[in-house]
Amino acid sequence: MKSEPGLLLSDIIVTPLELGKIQRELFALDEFLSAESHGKSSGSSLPYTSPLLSNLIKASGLNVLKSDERAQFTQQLQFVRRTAPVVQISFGSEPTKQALRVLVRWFREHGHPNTLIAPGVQPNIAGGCIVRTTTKTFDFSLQKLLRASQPELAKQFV
Amino acid sequence: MNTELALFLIGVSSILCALFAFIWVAVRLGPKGRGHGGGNGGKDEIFTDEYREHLRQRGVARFERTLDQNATFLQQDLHKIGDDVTEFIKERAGDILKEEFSDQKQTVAAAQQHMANAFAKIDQQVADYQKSMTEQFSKELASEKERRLERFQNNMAEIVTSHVQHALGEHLDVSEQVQYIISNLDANKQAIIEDIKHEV
Repeated sequence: MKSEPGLLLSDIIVTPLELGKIQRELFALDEFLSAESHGKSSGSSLPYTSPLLSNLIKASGLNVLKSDERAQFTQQLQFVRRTAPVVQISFGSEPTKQALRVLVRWFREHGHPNTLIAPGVQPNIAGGCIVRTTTKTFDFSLQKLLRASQPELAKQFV
Repeated sequence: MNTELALFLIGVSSILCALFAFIWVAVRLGPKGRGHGGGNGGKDEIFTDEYREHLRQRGVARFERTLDQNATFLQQDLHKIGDDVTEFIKERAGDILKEEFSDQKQTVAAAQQHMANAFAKIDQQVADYQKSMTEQFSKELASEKERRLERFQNNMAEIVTSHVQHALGEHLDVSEQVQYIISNLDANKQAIIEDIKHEV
């Protein structure tokens, strides 16, 4: 495992997009706080921080108001983004966040603790999902089940 | 040579002997020997007219009786011949009819055999044709069945998938499929995890 020991993604961060969004929020926060610290305040209020970022900061135990700890947190996030394995999963319809959390929890429990899921929608599979890892594809779709039972079904029709 | 001469002499002498004998007989029987119409009174008295008539009537009666007997014999012979002919005709006709019947029988038997052979041949041909048609029909049926099955199989996945998608697409919630997906992930856990770790 190459991930930093101190930073484990929570279940609410599932996709690479969400992680990127957190990084962007952290970058904006860092810009704002750096400007404040150098007396270059633009007069604007504190940038918006989503619950995802707030929870992650809280879970890390770092004080992002401090420049060095914020830099450490930023590096940890960058490391996670660089090293976290991404599993592409295609569903027949748009998956709910709750379903994605259950699935990402499975991957993090049995595989890498910071595994991310890149969900997609492929309507022709009807149900189930198709899991694509780096080199393999696992078809758990309803379409595959139908094709597997195709000869038997055909006999019933003919 | 001598034998021929001897035979010639014998022949000539025989002819001469016969000639002399003829002449002698002629001389002896001359005018004296022809005495019937000469008018000798003794002989005419023996065969009187009455006796002659009697002899004539006897002769006639005998002749008639003989004629009747002959007619009777002839009639009997005719009857016998008629009966024999009739019997012969009967026998011959019977034999001919028997022969004809026998021939007809043989002809009919041959015709029956020929017909039986022809019918057997036709039956065999019909059976062969029926068998051939049955096999061909079975083959065609199997081929058609296979073709329809193949065509159906080729299109079934898309048809059923499309149907399921339209029928259940809005109702199949991924959340309800999570357990199914998790069970599949567990079933392929080793391969999935190894690939994820390999990526890292």
